[in-house]
Amino acid sequence: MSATRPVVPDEHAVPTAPAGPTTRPTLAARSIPATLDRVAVGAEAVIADVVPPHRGELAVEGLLPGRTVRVTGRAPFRGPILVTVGRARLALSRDVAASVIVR
Amino acid sequence: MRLHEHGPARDDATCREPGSGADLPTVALVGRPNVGKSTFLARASRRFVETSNAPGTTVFLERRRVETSNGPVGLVDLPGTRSLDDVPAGDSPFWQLLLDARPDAIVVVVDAGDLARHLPLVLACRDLGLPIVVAANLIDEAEAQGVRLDTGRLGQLLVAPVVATCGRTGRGVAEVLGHAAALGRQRRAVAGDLRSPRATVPAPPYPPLVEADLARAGAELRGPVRSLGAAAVADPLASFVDRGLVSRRGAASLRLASSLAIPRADLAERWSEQVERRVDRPEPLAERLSRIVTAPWPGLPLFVLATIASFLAVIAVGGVLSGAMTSAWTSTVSPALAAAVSTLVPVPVLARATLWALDGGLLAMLTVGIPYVLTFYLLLAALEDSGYLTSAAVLTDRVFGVLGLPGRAAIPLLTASGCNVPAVQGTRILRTRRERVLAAWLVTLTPCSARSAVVIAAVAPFAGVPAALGAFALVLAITIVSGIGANAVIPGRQPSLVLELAPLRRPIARHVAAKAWFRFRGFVVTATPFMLAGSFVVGLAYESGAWAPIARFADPVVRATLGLPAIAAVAIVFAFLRKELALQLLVALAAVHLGAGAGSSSAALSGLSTPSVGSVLSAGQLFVFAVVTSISIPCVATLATLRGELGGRTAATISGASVLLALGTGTILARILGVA
Repeated sequence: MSATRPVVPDEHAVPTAPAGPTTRPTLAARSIPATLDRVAVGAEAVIADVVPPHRGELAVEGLLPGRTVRVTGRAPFRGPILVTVGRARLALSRDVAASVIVR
Repeated sequence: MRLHEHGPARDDATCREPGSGADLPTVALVGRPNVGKSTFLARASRRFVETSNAPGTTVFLERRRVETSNGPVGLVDLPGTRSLDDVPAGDSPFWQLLLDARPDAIVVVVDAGDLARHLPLVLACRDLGLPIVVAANLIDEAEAQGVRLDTGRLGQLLVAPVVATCGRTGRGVAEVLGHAAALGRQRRAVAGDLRSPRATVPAPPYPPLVEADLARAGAELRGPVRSLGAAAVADPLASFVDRGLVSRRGAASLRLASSLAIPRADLAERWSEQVERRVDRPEPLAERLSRIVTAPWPGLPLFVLATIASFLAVIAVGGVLSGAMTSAWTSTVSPALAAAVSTLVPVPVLARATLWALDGGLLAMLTVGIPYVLTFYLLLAALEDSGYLTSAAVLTDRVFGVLGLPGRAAIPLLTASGCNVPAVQGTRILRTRRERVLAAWLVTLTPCSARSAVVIAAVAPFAGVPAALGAFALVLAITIVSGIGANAVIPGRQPSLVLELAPLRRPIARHVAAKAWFRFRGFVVTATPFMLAGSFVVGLAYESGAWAPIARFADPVVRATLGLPAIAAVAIVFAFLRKELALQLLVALAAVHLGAGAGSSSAALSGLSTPSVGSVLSAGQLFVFAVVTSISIPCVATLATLRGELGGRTAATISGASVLLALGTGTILARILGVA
């Protein structure tokens, strides 16, 4: 799949933060790859990659590399996390959120 | 007007209505969930019909003749989908469902306020090589959010008509259908019988590398299709190309769907930026509400309140209606029926059994069906349409996760305590077959109002109210443990949640009523024959005395295991046919069997004479009887519903498991209570 997936860098250039240390305090200190389930409520993150098997499902919902997501809440009892991407509000269970690598 | 049914086996002939309408251009309606497609459809065809797309049921595609400004078309509604690869129900992907409908044009309904998310589906449909018309729906909500849309510019980019629509008011709907009818008709006229879709779309929109991949995949499809019949059969895509249902490029785009996701999303974002202007507005009330109900506070207490309120509303409204209907029936219909049957049926035994069916059975249908079931369906439809169920699902996801169920299962589970039949049908709101089976299993274990009445009447007068509550607690505990057990035993696991939260919407009364009525009709059709037949059989066995030999045969076994006299077992078995009669049957049978001073058995049946129960069974025995009756095999109407919703094998498994569970529980309980 990776062979047939052409990435057009220009398309991502605008929304994507430049590579390297980001200015976001919640993530700056992390050296391990940060995942969406660890982003604090109220914080924003830029998606770096989505790990299979949820890649296709999340792409359909607009969670693609380069997009900015905002975590808006967490359901109780380690329930789903709530995120906003573009205009949409999504609920993702923790394991799904853990498959979204952010920077 | 259900015309055809799509299973795995496809026959082109079944896709056409014979005779009328066969030559009408077909217009398929496609859109993501929550985009207001059913409202759009109701406006387009001037009536509301629910599309059955519950997991585990067959998807029905209905083709409706609709008049447009450019002549009539056959409109086919498809279940909501997020991409052409989604599997909405059964096991065929959405694109197969779509192509099976043989559309001449596709109307893609999108959210005007969120084009970036909806355009990828439009692009996917456009890539198929079929003419498309885009309905930028929910334009009223978008405008309230401060979104302005340049539909003309979007039309230029897509090379397809784009119309701003609002299903609620009907704005733009006729225009969309007019465009679709014109495009579909042109395509028919030009392509004739072959109807080959346009081989390419004008101005390939994707980056050159992607287009090259598409071309290559298209060319690879060509080879085996023409030369080798066997290979072509194995590839459904190739056969669709051969039958002229999809262009070669379209088939290639389906094959490469996963690698097209990113180019499509990029294009969607770029184009939506070009055609929309956003003015900052304060957050609309609907979105604020939606945020509030999904936050742990106050969402969680609200959810508990909402479930309890729904439960109480159904019980209260149902109780009042049911009482009124019963008194009306017994004062007017019953005497008339009794007179009519006794003159028409000469054999007294048969006449009395017929009365069991017509008088008792119909009354039971009427007093359970309309008051409880219809009330519940109305409430469920309103909650569904408002979008609240989705919010509740997110909030309680982990709580119900223990049982392998999503939070939205709370509503059907609660309903089960009213009546199991609508609760089993209510499991349609769950998304996978596994969830439905697990929920149905819990539903059948939940004591419905009839069974609760048996538990209360059998236990409370003789063992006290605390014992009755104890019986309920025991049944509840067994239900939860069985649910956890079933979740562990049934293969598969709960799917990870990826759910879009729609803003809360005011339900449209007419649609709620239509949906509730649609489901209620299903309930009546399913349950009535079983209720009548069951009552007749019970009546016949009782009136003719046929139950006595059975009781004598079963006596030693039942005594040894459950510590109950055989008549109790007969009552439990007959309760399969009419659950609420379990205790009355026991009393009546005891009166006849033991000659315990009941002059007329029907007198014992009509008014429950509690002292006689106490003289036949001890308090401990009554406790065992109540628990076993409550857990064992669902009633015949529930069984029929289970069969209709989940298939015969699942229904048999659930019933068998409940019998074993009841017998096991009863045997242990009898030892603990010292009655066996």
